[in-house]
Amino acid sequence: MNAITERLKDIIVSDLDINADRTTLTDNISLLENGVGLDSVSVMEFISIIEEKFGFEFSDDELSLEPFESLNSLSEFIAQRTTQTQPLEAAVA
Amino acid sequence: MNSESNIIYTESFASLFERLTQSDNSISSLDMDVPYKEFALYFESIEAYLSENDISKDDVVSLECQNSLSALLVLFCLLNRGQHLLLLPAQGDPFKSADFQPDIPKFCKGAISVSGSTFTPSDITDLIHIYPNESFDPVALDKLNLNGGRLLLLRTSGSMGDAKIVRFNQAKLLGNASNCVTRFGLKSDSRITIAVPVYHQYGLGAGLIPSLLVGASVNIQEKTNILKFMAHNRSFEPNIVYLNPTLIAMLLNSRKSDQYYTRTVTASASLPTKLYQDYRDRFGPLINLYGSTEMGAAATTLLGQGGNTPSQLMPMPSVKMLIDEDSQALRCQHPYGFDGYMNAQGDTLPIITNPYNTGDVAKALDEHRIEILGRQDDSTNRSGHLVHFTDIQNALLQTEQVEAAVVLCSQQEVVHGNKLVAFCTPKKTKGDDISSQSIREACFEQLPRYAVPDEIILQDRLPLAPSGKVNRRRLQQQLSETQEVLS
Repeated sequence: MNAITERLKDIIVSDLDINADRTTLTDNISLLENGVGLDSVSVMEFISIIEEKFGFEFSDDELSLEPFESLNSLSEFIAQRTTQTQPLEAAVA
Repeated sequence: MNSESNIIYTESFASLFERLTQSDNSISSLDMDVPYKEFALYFESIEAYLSENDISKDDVVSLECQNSLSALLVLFCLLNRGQHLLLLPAQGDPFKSADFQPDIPKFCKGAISVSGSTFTPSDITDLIHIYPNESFDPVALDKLNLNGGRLLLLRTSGSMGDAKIVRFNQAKLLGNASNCVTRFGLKSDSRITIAVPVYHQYGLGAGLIPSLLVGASVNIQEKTNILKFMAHNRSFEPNIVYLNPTLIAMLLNSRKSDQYYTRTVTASASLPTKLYQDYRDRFGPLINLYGSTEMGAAATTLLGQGGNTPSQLMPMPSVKMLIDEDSQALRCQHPYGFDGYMNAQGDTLPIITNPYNTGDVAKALDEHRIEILGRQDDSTNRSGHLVHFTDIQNALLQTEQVEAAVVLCSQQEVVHGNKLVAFCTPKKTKGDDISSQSIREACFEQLPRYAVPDEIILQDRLPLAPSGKVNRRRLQQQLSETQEVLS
């Protein structure tokens, strides 16, 4: 079980006010149309919460549809992004 | 402003599309790109399909017009042939069941919807669905009195319940669009992103048609969000963008770097000044458009110094804004305004107030400009003075003790008139020093006595409507409930 994917499910169920049912959140579910169906405001909130909880920021170029194609792809993207920034944080500390 | 001419626009849609074939530009979505030069090919095959289905240009048809290229090409073809047209928002799946009965007025011969996002001139007709109106009534059609003019019917946004059908002459739509070309500075080399629905006056009359008038490159976005917007933004590289207030907030919220757009056009009666100014700082000149389904584009904010707040407006060329001296009611005299409301039986209901009553109150800033103060029903008379709730709300914000404020009027009578109640959220940075009393005391420095709220109700948050705006109705309810308890 992927820890990031589980944390993303927690966020969708608890932090986004969209009345989502956790049992319907499969790992390959799309986050946009034909899936979780996040509306435009929820997408914005989701991005902000991810940035806050995972400690990185989406650059303008990273604001694209691909990472949001499924929970899996988003989880992979976050894994990649957070390992990239960890050495930096360590250096600062 | 002297450069803005007052000529009455005379071009027809047919000549506009004829002229567009000379352009090397195109209209695009995320999925595909249609050069203006190829429009004639599409028109030919759509025309043939309409004739096969017995739709003559003298019939009235409805079109479910979502922001997709396929739907827009059908729209353009209908306008090009001079079809009488009712524009509707997309209602569910464009491809309905065989026994689908469209909910359209009796004078409409049928309903058209368009599905799909990729196509060619020869197969675009596979995406078009025509549903005959079984309650079609030729008598209702006769009553429309269509002598010569081509009809465009739009539905009001209808946020307050029943939507009305607003009757336009297609020629006036072009006149309104030519005003927008001038005011927004649209040019043939502009790259224009339209991320607002085209079945509304704003997207259609102020966005899409003006863009076609100059033959600009257009990028159309459907049901957009920040991810889609950024994807379009990278591939299309627009210099002019049409955004709704939610997208304005999203760009400010989610984007880490700034980008300069030559123009951003939005249309909001309640755009917060801070949001408006922050956007201008990060993304360039933002114009707030003031108008309605009935009027089209009536006024806009100015670029530079004169346009520092979203409610200070300059009327469009040849539009007159008239302010009633006593009530401050704002009326609008518009050469390209609507011809009346319609009912489903084909009757055109007379325009009751002429010039058109906008429902807003305003004051004159100088010889040319006006400032919108709020809605006509968002004010009350206190000790013989007209008091606007927005003025009190602004004064409350000026006290620097409150984060947000909404003023309402209760039925209860006090010495100055109806009791004024302000719902406020405290400014967090100021800690525990804030009380209803301290806020009210500060109001006396900002407002004349008769305008100081009689009661301040402090609460941690204000209820929001689905649109993200404060839910005034809920607060009004809260107010009447507490009053019942008291009495």
